[in-house]
Amino acid sequence: MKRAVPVLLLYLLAVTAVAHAHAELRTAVPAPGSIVTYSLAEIRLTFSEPITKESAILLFTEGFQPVTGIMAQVEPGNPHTLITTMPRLSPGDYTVQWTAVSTDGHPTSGSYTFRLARFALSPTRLWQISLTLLFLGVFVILWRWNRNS
Amino acid sequence: MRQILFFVMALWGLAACGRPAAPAGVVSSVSPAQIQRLNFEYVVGTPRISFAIFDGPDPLTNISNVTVAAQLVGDENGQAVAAVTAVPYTNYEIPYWVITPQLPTPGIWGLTAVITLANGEAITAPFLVEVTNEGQAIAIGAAAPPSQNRTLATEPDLHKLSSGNDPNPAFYQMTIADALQTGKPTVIAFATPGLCQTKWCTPVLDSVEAVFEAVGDQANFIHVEVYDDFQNLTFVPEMAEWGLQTEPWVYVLDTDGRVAARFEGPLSPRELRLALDPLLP
Repeated sequence: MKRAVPVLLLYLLAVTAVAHAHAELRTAVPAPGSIVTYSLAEIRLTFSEPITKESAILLFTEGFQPVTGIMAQVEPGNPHTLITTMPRLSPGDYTVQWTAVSTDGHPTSGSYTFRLARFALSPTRLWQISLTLLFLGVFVILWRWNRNS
Repeated sequence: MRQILFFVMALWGLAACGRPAAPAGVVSSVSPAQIQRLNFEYVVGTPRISFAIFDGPDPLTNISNVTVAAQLVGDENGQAVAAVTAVPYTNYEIPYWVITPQLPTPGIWGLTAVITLANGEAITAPFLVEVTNEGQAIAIGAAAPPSQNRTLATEPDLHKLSSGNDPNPAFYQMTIADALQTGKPTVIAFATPGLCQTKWCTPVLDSVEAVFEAVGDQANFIHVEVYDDFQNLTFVPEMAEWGLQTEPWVYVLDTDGRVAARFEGPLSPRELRLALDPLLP
């Protein structure tokens, strides 16, 4: 396992040694610096210009342990977007390293980190729970009031 | 009436419970920093690794210090390199940082940048580079190829010698072979200022021009346009002669015609001066 992974990395990084930079990262899902609380199904990166199949995504955990099973492809019908489906990930911090090769052969390469949380409360979820507890309280009061009368 | 009120409240509560969650469960940030690598050829030894730091689409500001530690990925012995301080070059269109760590082994190296902000907060940003035993571009210490690049003597149309809007004729006066005979240090820029119009590429020739204005004839300055055909984008033969598959590159040759320094990608005037000044008379 440990020996096979660097070979894969070498292959994926080799595509960067072709030319110089052009395509810029416009949007990313998951976003840089985000804490993801949902089941992560894919990485989706959108660039400023069309990219080619030589583009790549690497994913690695803390301590630079590569995540296997990442096979990036240009989204069919959307040449600005690079996607990869995800294996099941454990909670933790992950770094995405991407390489985008534009149609004129010029690559760019960047990286960012996100965190996959085991369980976290988003503001929306916190609001839901608070509201639900409030209604349950009012419901119980009304129910007892209704039963006593 | 009480029954109606009770029923309405019960429905309200059920509705609140069933409200859909936000599609993206993002609650706060980890490290928002994004690293963008600015060069691609790293050879064992002390490779120059240049990178920019972004927060979203904009450069991360208020950075007071950046250190970078390295470890060899997949190495069972855990080969690691102590953190080195990155040199900031903020007098460029996009601020960038450079490290030259001791990376003695080829392979994939994981780099961890620790970025200290002006308020004392420290954030980390990991990234990877591939280090090879040999590069493709002419290496530091090697003798420069005596290239017969085009000059105004062989191509009088300045706009065929450069894709730039306003080429400086001083950069097209001599071949590299000529420069090697002068006994002066030489700066050679392989760049296509008009056809690589990103914030990374375009300012490189401006940096060379700024240094030329400051240094004058103490050194030779040559621009080699990357393309000899601006329609079909075919490379000039000097690109292969120098082993260049990317652009821009800037080379600094010493007075003996050997490569004293080389820079792939963005290059600020200050970084160029640091390499050139020790070679000047």
